[in-house]
Amino acid sequence: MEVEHLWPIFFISLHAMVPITLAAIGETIEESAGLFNIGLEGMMLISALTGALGAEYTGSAVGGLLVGLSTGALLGLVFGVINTYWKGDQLITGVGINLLALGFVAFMLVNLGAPGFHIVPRDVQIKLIPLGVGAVSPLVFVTVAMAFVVYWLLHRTQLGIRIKAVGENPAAADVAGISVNAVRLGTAIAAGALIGLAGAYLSVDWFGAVTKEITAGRGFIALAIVVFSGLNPLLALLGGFIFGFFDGFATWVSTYPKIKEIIPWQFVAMAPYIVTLLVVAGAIGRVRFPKALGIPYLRE
Amino acid sequence: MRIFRNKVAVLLIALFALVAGPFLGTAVAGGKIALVTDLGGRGDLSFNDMGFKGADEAAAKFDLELVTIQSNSGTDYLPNLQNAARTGDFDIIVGVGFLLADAMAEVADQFPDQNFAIIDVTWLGKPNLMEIGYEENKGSALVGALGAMVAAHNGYDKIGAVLGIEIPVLYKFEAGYRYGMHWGNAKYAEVTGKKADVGLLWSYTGTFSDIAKGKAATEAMLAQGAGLVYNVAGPLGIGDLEAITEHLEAKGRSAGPPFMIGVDANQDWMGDGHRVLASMMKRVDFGVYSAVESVVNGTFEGGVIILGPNNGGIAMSGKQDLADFIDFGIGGGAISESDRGRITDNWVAMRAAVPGWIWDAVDELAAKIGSGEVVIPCGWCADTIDQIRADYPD
Repeated sequence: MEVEHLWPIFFISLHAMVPITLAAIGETIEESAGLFNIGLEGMMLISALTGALGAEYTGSAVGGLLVGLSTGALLGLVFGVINTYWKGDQLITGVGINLLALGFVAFMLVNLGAPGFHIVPRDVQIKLIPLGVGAVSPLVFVTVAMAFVVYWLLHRTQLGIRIKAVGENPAAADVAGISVNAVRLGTAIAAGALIGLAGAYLSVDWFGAVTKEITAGRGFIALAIVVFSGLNPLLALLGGFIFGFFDGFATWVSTYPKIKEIIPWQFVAMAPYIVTLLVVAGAIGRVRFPKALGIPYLRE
Repeated sequence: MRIFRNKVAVLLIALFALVAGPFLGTAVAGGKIALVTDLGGRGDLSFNDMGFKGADEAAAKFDLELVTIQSNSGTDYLPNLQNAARTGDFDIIVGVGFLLADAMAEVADQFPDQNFAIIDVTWLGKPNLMEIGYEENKGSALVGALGAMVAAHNGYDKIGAVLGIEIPVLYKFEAGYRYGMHWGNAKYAEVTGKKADVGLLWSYTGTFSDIAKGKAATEAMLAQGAGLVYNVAGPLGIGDLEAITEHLEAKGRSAGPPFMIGVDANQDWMGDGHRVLASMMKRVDFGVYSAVESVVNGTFEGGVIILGPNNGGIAMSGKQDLADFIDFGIGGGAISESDRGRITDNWVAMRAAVPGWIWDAVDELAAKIGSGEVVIPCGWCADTIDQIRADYPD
């Protein structure tokens, strides 16, 4: 492997980092407030579809991203209402969103036309920024910035303290005059927006098309990253990059004839998942999650 | 308690919808046919979609009702086939794909009076089962030869293949492509007098759904000097093509080289007509259509049917195919009618930029394969692929 190949692998890692990290940051916000949403995969999938259609309809890539973001926020609102005011079961709601997305997106793609996939025209895809050694999507910068902004928001502002109070001890937060359900609903919508942006990134930016399995498990990887990060958005950024790196690296080296002679490609292909497992297994145990995570708040 | 009862009721209704849903449909005058898809299901850009296309065309032509039954996991194959057979309503039940083989063998025995057909399987041997296999190795040899000669002509010394999950059917693609590449190298040297030493970069990505792996593998191959990449992983071709498009854009160009080679369906129309050099078409639609037609004509019988270059089951894409699949693309909303002229012009210009002798050479190879003068390895080579890799090295 030549040294100049390190740059493309670096850029592949950055681009793979974006959807996982954005979704993980979103999940971090709502888990901090006590909402456990395993519907990331489904929310990303639906937003990837609406983002692609939005880009075409508005004739602009940014328009597509905003449509995807709004779709995510709307799904976040639904998830939030069910699990705050209606005291629903968060796990079941999350599973429901995932199942809905699988059926909905496949159904829509069939109805949009025979091929079962949908291509986003080149001129309404996000333009990459050329950097000499490679080209990078502007969403990479947005993702990095978002990690710092959310870290600051959760750890340095009063709103962050309120969010965490609602997640740790909703009864005490209620006594202190914080509306538990309103805060949780707000975090669900904000989280949904980030998850929706992650989904739209897949179709409007990274792949330039939407297929019925475009997320390919990234929503679940994002959940693993959240566990690893212990609800720290900066660690989520790092985790997203590590997974993106190993995923891209494994695919990359599998094309090298010489490497194939030494290591069977199956082992190389396993690398990203083994690394994720090791990282999560190493992190679990020391990570502490909010006490009221996953429990609907009932005022007594 | 009442809440619990309600929950049970809701669950039962949901269960009923899940089980019965696939079978609900409106009755029409003629008979009924069923298409059972594999895991990939509709929208795989590959044999499931092509299988549906064939069944759909047959249903329209012969005034039949088509019921598509989607399999969501490997455990669905047997119950899906059994449920369809048990109704006794279907003139024929078609299973799409290698993955249904075991379930199909069992169901064909259980329901001896039911007509079945299966794609990509040729070893079950049941009197009521039509088994349809394809000579992907032959088609892949054609695009491999084309790829090697075009790459050499354009000054590249590598061609790539991005493959999906490592299953025996894909060995046929790989083996044929390898053979074709070596044939193309020899032909290039013979015609131009210059030594051609185009090598192969290949990767089994282990997926038929994660487009990122297709894109990353293609970027890796382009960085190592690949002049084109053969997509043997259905939807991953979207990622392959995206990588090629970005690679070209970075150089301020739109047209290849480097190119992609499409698979199964005709994908020449993608990439604005000038980034997909050719497609190795595996006409699953043709196979499904013929199976249905045989039932309608009363000529259905069990046994193996091999579709290949000689009978239109396998072909390298030509201009008429491009026109057909532009319609397909317009129907799918992927492109619009106003793109037709530009895509066709781009495609014609792309093909014209390749010297005529290369196209003649590909035709020559096709003729030799047809006459049996050239034998492409791997009719089925699950056991011998390692030997083929040694005989036709990277």
